[in-house]
Amino acid sequence: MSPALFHLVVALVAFAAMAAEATGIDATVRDASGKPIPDAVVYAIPASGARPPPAGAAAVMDQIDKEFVPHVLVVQAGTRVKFPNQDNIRHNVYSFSPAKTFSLELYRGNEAAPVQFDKPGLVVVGCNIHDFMLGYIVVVDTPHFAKTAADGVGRLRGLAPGAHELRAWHPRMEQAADSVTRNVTVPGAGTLAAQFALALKPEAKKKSR
Amino acid sequence: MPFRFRSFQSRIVFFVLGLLSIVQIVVFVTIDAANTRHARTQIDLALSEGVRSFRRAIETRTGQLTESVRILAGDFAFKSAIATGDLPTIGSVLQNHGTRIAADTMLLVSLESELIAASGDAVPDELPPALAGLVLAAGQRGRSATALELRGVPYQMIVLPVLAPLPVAWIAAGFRADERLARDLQQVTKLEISFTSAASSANRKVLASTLPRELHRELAASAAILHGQEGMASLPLAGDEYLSRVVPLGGQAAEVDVVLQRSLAKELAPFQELRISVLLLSCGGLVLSFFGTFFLARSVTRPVRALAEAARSVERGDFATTVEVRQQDELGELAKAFNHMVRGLAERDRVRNLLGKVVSPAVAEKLLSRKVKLGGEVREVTVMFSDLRGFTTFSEHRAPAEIVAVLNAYFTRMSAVIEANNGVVDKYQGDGIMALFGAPLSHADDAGNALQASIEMFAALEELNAELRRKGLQGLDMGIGINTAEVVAGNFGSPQRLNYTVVGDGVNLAARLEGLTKRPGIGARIIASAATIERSRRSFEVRALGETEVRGRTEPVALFAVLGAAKDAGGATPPAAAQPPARLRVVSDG
Repeated sequence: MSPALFHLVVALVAFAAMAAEATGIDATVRDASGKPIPDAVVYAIPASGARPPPAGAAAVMDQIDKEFVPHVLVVQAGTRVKFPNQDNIRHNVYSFSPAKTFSLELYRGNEAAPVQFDKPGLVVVGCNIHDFMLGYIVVVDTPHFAKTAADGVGRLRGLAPGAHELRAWHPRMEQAADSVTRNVTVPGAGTLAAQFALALKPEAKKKSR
Repeated sequence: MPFRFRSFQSRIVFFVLGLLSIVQIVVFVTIDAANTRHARTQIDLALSEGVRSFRRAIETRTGQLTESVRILAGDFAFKSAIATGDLPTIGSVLQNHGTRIAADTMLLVSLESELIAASGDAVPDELPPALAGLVLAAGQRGRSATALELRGVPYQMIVLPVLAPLPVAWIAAGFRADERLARDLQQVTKLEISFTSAASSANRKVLASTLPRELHRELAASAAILHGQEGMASLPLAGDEYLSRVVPLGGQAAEVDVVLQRSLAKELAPFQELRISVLLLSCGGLVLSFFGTFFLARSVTRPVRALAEAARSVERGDFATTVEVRQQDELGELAKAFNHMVRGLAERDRVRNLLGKVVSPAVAEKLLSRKVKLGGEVREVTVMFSDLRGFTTFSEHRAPAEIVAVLNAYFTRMSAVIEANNGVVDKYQGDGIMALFGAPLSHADDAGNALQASIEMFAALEELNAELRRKGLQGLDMGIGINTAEVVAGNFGSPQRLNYTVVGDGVNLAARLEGLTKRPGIGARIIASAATIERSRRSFEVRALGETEVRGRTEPVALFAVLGAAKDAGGATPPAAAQPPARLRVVSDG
């Protein structure tokens, strides 16, 4: 493995207490050159207190045109995820990730049963018959998660004031299994603005299908 | 002293074979040099081509192996087994799937470069450093391949990630670079292939080779020198010369070198056959040439020797010699000409004997060229006898050599005069000469010639006498008798010794007339018979001496003293008629 790996992460987390209507965190994720990164995962784990159970609704990771959609899915631990197949060919969705090992034998449409993800962690999803298909399911132990928008900002709302572990993750991070963590305190009112700077690998070329 | 050939035959054989040998040696050496040069060029080309083929073959093989490993690593069951994390299961699947792709060893390496599991014939306890480097390289490029030496065995190692679908581990598959691979590559490259430890290896050795085992040690030592060298080098192996190239097996980091070689002896093998053929042809050519020139030379020397032998026989006087040469060429011509010559010589020799050795060459030549008939015949001949007076007295108290010298001087002068007048000296008798005019050949005026000769002989005698007197010697005197008559001319004697001469009364008369000159009171030194005087076409001053009787004849014969040439050059008047007959009586004593 590249030693450049450890040459990463300067996580610059700036705090600025700002007056706001609701309590929350606006986490902005940028790359090393300061460019905002969309589709990064940000989530906040409360330092104490019970976490509300996941909403009953199942999350969905589609397979459209031999791609997992969304490419990155964030779910709270205990959530069931459906893998509907919208292609006219079968897929065999699997993962050998320690957080969840499963395999949905070749199926069409909605034939496959939903898979429940109980253990927090990164689940790398592939298709047995299409090696290039790659999806990520980030299982988090909190209901407070978001993906950054085009401006690189992930907006977390409805957080209880107090200490939180704020984490950021992106599939192109060199240490894919790790996330960047920052301890923050959510103010009683208004939003906390947090900044992440991630060292990312260059975007891989799309493989032929 | 330089060497000289005793025979033309050995000389011609020596030179022809010598030249031929030189030409053949030059041709042979030239061909040989060209062949060796050609072989080296061929090997050079073959090596370059072979190295290219080898690289292609290895590239192709590496590609194929990589693909097999890739397919294996992508196998879902394989991935599933790996995912179990159960080491016996992983070991088992490594073995099972390794067999599928005919890998000789399989290793599973964690993303942290730790050996997880291994199967096959070279299972290490921990990840060898070279393999760790290979894994690192695979991390950068997604795959890597090189040749490694594990426990003394060369392997081609392929390293690929196990994707699920992101890399979860590295799979390293090893394929032994063994003699079978070497032989396969030999098929492709047409070169000898040897796998040796790379130079970094402490005890370099030949790991596998198409060469016989006994050459391995020598090859290992010499291959070490070649490591890292570009281009061709010549390695001596077991007395043969191998043109060699060394390339690493799969990348510069490879622990295994490949020595590609070609034997000069093998390359030259077809030329060796050619060489033997050329040698045999050369030897055959020499043998044929030897016999050819031998017989050719003999066809020259044999007749030449025969001719030389015949010439020696002729020299010894054997005129019966003939040379047997059946050839139709120039030598045949020569032999024919020789035989003709010998026959001519025999004839001439015979004729010369018949004429007598005293016959002057000029006269003999003339006589021979006219094809004289030498059989006996009756012909009219003027016979002359001459005799020295007082030579016996002269001879007394003189050395024999002096006598011979004086006599020979006399004969020489007289003979010259006789021959100058178309006479032939028939023989010398003591100090006398018998000469013939009109035999064996007739001339226009034989009688006149005889008379003229007699006068000139006295003139010649005067000269001789002058010479003798100058030496303080006494002068000589001479008498001459001449008669013309029909006599028998022919060859007389035994078959071994024949002499041409004339016999008859006429001859005796001439001798008697010569005898008469000695008689005191005659006062004539040349006495000729009337027959001669009458027949002479030239005139001479004569004096009649009277008549004499001759046996067998009824009429007496008139005799004349010849005094000299006629004073007036008038016609031939028979002097007998003008002069009164002398009162002379000739007494015949024969």
